[in-house]
Amino acid sequence: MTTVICIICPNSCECVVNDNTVSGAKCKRGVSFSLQEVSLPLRTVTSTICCQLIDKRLRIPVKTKSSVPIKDIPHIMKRIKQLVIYHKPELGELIINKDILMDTILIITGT
Amino acid sequence: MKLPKEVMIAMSQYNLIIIGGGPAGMATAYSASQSGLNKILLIERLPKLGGILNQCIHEGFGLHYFKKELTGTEYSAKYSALLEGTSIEILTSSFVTGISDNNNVTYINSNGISTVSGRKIVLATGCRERTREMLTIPGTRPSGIYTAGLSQEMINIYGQLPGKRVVIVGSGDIGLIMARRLTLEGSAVIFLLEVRPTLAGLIRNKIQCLDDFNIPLLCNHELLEVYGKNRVSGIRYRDNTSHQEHYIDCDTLLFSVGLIPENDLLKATPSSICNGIRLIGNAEYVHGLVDEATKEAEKLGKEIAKELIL
Repeated sequence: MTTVICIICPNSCECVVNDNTVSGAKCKRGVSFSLQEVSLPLRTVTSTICCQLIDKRLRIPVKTKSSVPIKDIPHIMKRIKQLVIYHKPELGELIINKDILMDTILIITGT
Repeated sequence: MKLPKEVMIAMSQYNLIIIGGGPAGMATAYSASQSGLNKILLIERLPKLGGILNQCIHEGFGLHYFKKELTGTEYSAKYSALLEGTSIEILTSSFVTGISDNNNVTYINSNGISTVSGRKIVLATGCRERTREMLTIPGTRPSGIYTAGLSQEMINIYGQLPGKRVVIVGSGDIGLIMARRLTLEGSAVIFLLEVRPTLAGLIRNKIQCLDDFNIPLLCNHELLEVYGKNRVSGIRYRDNTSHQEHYIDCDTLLFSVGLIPENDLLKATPSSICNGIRLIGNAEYVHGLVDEATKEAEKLGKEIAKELIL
């Protein structure tokens, strides 16, 4: 039996996971979150990347397309930091770069 | 000085002038416009609409309003897109300097000083952060002391790291978010000091910002003194349960100790017209969620439109 607090929304339901049953969640998102949380906790990583244009350099906000295991976050951050793009991106644009980002896909969250 | 006739006639008249283009200002303008009101002016001091959302690159926005988990920047982009195609006039990079008799609003921008007049005026100017000075913490006055929101702007907008060894004072949500952000960027966040017995921010932020990265939160702990000549070198703090005092080395202090509604404009505004000015969003009171500020502002916009159209 493990207790996890759901972080999907500000309700912060206290969910009790017993084998594969969850009690205490006010909605079904809390059930799937709690089951995932006790096996392998996942998080979306948000950060910024460098955007080098001819006349200026900007920071552009990004998030990972899918959530990643917490223990992988430091590695993913290292890769995100190395990334530079040379065009003004669109909101929602996917950033795929096998050399630097490996399998991680980023989404542009602001311009 | 007597103004030439043309200049006097040139002053624009609006039904509604909104000061501040953050989430509350945008929502007031949008809903008033959707309710059929025309001649709406939205004035924003930065080059872009969105206010504080534009430096909030983390998730936790829009779950109620857009029914979707969004980052602050996505929320800002989604809402400002709603304003496109409406008749709302938007002035960015324009700073309001005063509100005077006859509901005249004066602002400055690259074109100089201008005055416009509005039948209704809404202040959606958000909040300021409480600073170290407001807490009267003894010690020296070195560099390396920031408010949490300022450090957020430095990192997320300008790509500058405020420091390497950081202590955060207070456990408000921005402080929690910045503990994680600094850790991800490579700084060591030593701990957070909270003078009260419990967390000030949301529990979900403690879990995903502190617990995920093993950052300690010390409740019932009080900052006593700041040390350092040019740069912060350390702090003295006290455990208020055991009454023991401690010292720790650090090069940066972040304060996350609450927000104060920004209504400085009203101080110089004649009291006769102050009563007619409406406050909305964080300028009215501090909101926990942007979705709530948006909903309240949309309600206000609708009310004003109804009042003025009748």
